[in-house]
Amino acid sequence: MMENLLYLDPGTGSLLLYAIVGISTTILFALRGFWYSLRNRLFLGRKASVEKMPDIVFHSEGGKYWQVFQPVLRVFDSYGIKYGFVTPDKNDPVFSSGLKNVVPVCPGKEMVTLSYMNNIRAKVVVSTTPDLDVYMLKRSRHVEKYVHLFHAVVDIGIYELYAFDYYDILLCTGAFQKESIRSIEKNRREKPKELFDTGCTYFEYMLDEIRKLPQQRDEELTVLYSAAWGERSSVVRYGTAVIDALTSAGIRVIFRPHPQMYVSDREAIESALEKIKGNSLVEVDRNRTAAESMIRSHAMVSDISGVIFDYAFLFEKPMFLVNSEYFPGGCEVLDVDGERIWQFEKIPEISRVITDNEIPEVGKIVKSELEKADIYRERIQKIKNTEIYNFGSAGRTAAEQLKEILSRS
Amino acid sequence: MDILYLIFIRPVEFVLGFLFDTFVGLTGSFGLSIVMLSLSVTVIMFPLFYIAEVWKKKEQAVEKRMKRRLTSIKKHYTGQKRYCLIKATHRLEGYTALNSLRTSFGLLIQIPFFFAAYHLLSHYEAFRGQGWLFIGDFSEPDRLISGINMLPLLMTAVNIVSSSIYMKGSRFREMVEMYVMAGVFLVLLYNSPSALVLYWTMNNVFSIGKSLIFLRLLPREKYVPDEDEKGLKDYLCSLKNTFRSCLTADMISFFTVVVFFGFQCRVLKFHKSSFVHLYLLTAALVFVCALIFLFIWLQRFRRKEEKFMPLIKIVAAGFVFVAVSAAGFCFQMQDAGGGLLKKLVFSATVCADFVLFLIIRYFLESRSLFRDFSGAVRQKECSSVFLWNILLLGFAVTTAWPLLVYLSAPEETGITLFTILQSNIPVLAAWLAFTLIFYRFSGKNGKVRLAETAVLLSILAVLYHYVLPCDYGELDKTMLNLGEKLDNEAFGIWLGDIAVIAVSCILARVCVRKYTSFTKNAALLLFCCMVGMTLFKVVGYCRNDAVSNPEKVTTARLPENNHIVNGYSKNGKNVVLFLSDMFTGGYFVDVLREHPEYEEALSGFTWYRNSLAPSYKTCGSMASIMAGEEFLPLELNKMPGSGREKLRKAAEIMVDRFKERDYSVSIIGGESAYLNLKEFDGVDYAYRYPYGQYWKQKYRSGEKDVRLIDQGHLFMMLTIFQNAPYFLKPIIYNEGCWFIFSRKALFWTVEDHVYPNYGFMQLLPEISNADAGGNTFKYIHNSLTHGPYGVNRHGEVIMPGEQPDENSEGFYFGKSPYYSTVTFVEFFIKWLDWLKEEGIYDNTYIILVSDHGTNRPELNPMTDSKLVNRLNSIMMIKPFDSEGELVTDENTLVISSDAPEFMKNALDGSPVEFAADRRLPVVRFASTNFLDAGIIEIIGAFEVSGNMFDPKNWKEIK
Repeated sequence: MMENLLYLDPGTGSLLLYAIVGISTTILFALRGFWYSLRNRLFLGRKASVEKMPDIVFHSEGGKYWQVFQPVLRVFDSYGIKYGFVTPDKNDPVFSSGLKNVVPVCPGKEMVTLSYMNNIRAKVVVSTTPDLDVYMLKRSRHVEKYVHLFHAVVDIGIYELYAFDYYDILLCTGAFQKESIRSIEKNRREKPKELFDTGCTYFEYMLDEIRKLPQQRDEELTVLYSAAWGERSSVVRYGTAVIDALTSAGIRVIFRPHPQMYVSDREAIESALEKIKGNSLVEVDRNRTAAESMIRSHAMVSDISGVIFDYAFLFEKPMFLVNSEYFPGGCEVLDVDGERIWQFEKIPEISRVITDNEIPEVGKIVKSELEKADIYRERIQKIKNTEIYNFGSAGRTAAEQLKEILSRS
Repeated sequence: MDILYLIFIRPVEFVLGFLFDTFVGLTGSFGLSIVMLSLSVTVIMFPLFYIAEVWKKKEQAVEKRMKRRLTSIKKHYTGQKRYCLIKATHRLEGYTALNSLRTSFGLLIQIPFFFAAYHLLSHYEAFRGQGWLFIGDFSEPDRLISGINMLPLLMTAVNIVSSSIYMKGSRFREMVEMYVMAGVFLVLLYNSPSALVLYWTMNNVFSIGKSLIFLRLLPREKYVPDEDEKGLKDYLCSLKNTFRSCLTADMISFFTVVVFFGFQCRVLKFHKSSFVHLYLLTAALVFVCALIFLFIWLQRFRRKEEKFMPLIKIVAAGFVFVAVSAAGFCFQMQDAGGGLLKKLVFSATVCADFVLFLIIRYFLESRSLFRDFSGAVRQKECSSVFLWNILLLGFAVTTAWPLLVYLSAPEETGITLFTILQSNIPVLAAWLAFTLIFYRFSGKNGKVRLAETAVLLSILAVLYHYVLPCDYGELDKTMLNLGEKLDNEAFGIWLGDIAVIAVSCILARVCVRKYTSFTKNAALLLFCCMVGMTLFKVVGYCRNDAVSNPEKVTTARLPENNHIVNGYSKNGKNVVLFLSDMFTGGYFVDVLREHPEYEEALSGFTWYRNSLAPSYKTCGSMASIMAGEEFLPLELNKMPGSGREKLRKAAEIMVDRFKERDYSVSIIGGESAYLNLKEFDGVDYAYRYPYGQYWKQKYRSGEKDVRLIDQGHLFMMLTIFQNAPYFLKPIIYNEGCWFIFSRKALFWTVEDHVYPNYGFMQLLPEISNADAGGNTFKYIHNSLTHGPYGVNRHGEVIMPGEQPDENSEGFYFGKSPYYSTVTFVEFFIKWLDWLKEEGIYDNTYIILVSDHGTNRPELNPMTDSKLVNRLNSIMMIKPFDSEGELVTDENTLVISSDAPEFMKNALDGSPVEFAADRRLPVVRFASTNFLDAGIIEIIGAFEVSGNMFDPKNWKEIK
């Protein structure tokens, strides 16, 4: 056989090479898929048995997403329509929310909940989880519409690839998201999704929370240093250089690393915490929300992350951006025309970008920029009012839109 | 496969055959017909090619759309996430596994035509001797200019032109791939028959037209290179950077030492007497280098730039060097043999080289020369690379490859599959345990270096096994058939080794540092393939009932049918064909000189001194000894079927000849590898092994039989030998002795071979009887005269630790072949005496013959040529009622395949006459899978006439 193969037409030699490479890659790819599915079945949890649920079901990834759902549910509950709420967190606030029409279910931990969701029967499922039908969360055959509720003011381009391709409806937070989605749909030749002008529901929850807290700013000049995780993190990149520069200028620092840093960037965070140990001007914030620190601080130093818009829209205080050169790879922006990302264009408008060379001087810069706080406030308000949908009433809007979606289904 | 052939290829072949015959009928020219056939195939396939091209373009468009995202995914994601995103990309673009097949449609539709054309044109008998234009013979390569084949070169040129048109404006990488493939096919097709090459050359010519039409019908998009796409300059630049990143202190010192080590190995092989000088030279070099090291270290230590660690390392390595050297010299005082001494000196030089490596590296690093600038490797991935490569290497060397060697001829080994596993799996476990523990306790840099070393060894093993394989013949007991080729390896081989190692070093470094994940996956994939392949082979072997397991008897009893197989007739006739394996005819000259009394003992015999063997090996000679000249090697190659089938056919002819005349037929000791004795109806048979066991119990009782385990190691050593660089091979294997293979185990291998053969011969008068009725025919195959030799100068089987010739090491050397020959003759004569005593000597016709000679012409007073010696057989005939002293026929040229003529003479008295001008064909061949494939791979064929010991009478046949 092999001897005969040697007599192939040399002109098709490279074709033969491609065929061999192509077929073996396909086989390897299939084997890899088989291995992952086997591993998921064996090690990642039991298959959940699905109970009968109401026509509309909200899917939460855990208690920390309550702030996104709560503003929607408190209105939706008043319609008198029964709705399901599936969460992997048995301490999820939904269980103690006092909502009347909710059917809360905790099938088990994350993987069991995903298995539950993958087989659920409902007309509409509302979820905050991107990459539906790409990773572990699959579209159930028994669901008509999947609705995505955004949990932050971020452009589509920064999400991982195919984040929303398998959703039917998106409740957008701003027009910039709609532009990106349409651009992606066009480039991927996809059927257009239904897009709603909704807004970011979580701001309402935050506003309520903030109102409950004492509205006391620190007397001394205090800066909240909010560090992202992974390659975007300034702590990973510069260590404690930012903290050192701030404290050496006599500024108090509330250091709030992203909770994921304790998992993913353990070495960097442990080393940073070790270095600032004993520095009386630094305190570390590990609270569930950053609301208290945000109230107390006069300004915020941050990496590129969603927290910038929280701070901007909720408090309208000056912000300073470090490690600004980050640009996401392997993300949706690949198929957005012009590879534009809205927040990367807006952040420099509402904050002062600190270059690498300026880091040792960041203390001085903060002090001088604070004098221009009003200019920053004006810019923030302009964006908040013109580019974000329904600031302060997104929960109600979302509830109404969902009622309409349900009635159509 | 046959069904596939019948469905897909046969119909196409039929159509092509019809077309070709029609064209031949029309034109009367084969050449023109081939051109027309090629044109017809191109025209017939044009619509299919067009569809294939359209599909290909569609697929390329999809691939182009996906490319950017897939590249980004591969860059930014790993593991399951990467898999899911790639899958989502495929899904979104509607790309399935079928698409890759659709892209290959152009190839798939051609395959039936390829095979059909191959079958048709390569089996077209009428091509023989026919030419056209400049082609001399269509069935042969053209050899147009000074033996160089021009057609394949022309074909490659046309191919490049055709592909260049077709791929015009493609990426640089695609163009390079195209040129490489054209080169590969040139190599593969270079020696093909001209008819085939002409056909494909014309295919390529017509495909130029096809490409031009396609370019018109399906215009290509203007090619715009991606921003990140590399061109020739980028590749050269990256190559330069890669090379520069490999110029590090450890690489340079390692490479320098490897070159030196290669030189040492050559000296050890080719200047055996000066290995002590080599050792002294190395020691002096180490001493000087150590002084330089001490000087530098002290300077740096004083400046507090250095710690104690380098000094400790070098002193420790030096200590091992001194200890190994001391052991070597102590041994020299105790043993004059020198074999072990050489190994110890070799070990000492290895230690010395290691010290040198440490010193050179230290020197380069301390001077900040060739510092390591390459990036860090992720520990986790580095560990995976190490683990999978170690597993791959261990499994390949201890299990996969040894099993493949074993399974190629299990019956010849005398051990079972389980024994191989039992002996080699512990070695694999030890290898894994040792390497993994060593890795676990190495430092961060050490781990990367160990991973690089593991990858280097894997690359070398794969390269030397598959790309640069050696051919030193098959393993015959412990000896390689063509082992003497090691003595003639050219200097260029050593240079080649150095180049291969240098490139492999660079490759290993780049693999570990730049393509860590790929290297891990490649090793894993290779490992899985190897496990799969081994399981497939083993399961296939276990299922194959036709393969008989080695007949090994552990109980010491004579075979139940011994009385029958060794029973001779007093009243009827007895004919005995005695095949003494590897008995060199010329040795008998010295046997007679030493024992003149044998001339009387061999009364009635005629010894043909001018006796040829048909071939170098038993499998090439045996058939003709049984069935005559129609089964000579050159004739065997023309017959259809496997080697086993051919041998069986020959044996059947011999057996039937006697059975037809009511002889009771017995076969004793037939090599089970060659003949499955169970297959012969009405034939009594017995193997040699029970006689060995019986003899052992009688003469060597009380020895524990634990030796089989070690025999499995021999296959492992063979694998290591095959996968090592050429300069190391003579160190691993040296004239029947293996470097890391215990003498005890070697002895056991010898013992396993000698006991059954020696035992049978010694027991022969005792186990024979004269109770048979009617006529009897015996075919006795004995290998006492075959190496490895285990009989000493007194004719006794050696004891553990003893050498057959006390003046030389090993079981093939010194006078050991001669001692075994003398002993065989002594036992043979004792058996003749028994025949005489029983009164059955006169009615017994005896043919003593051998299948080939040894590799030791220095013991043959008739010749000093290895070739002549190897093809010098013994041929002694004693007809019925023959009397008088041994007659020596010095002139008549005979060949072992004349034995059937004597058998006919015994059967019906038909005269045996040999013409004075006989020209006899004999062949030399090396490794072969004759038994399975049925073809003897002949290295040289000769026609011999007159005095075979005169080199002038040997004419090489082309």
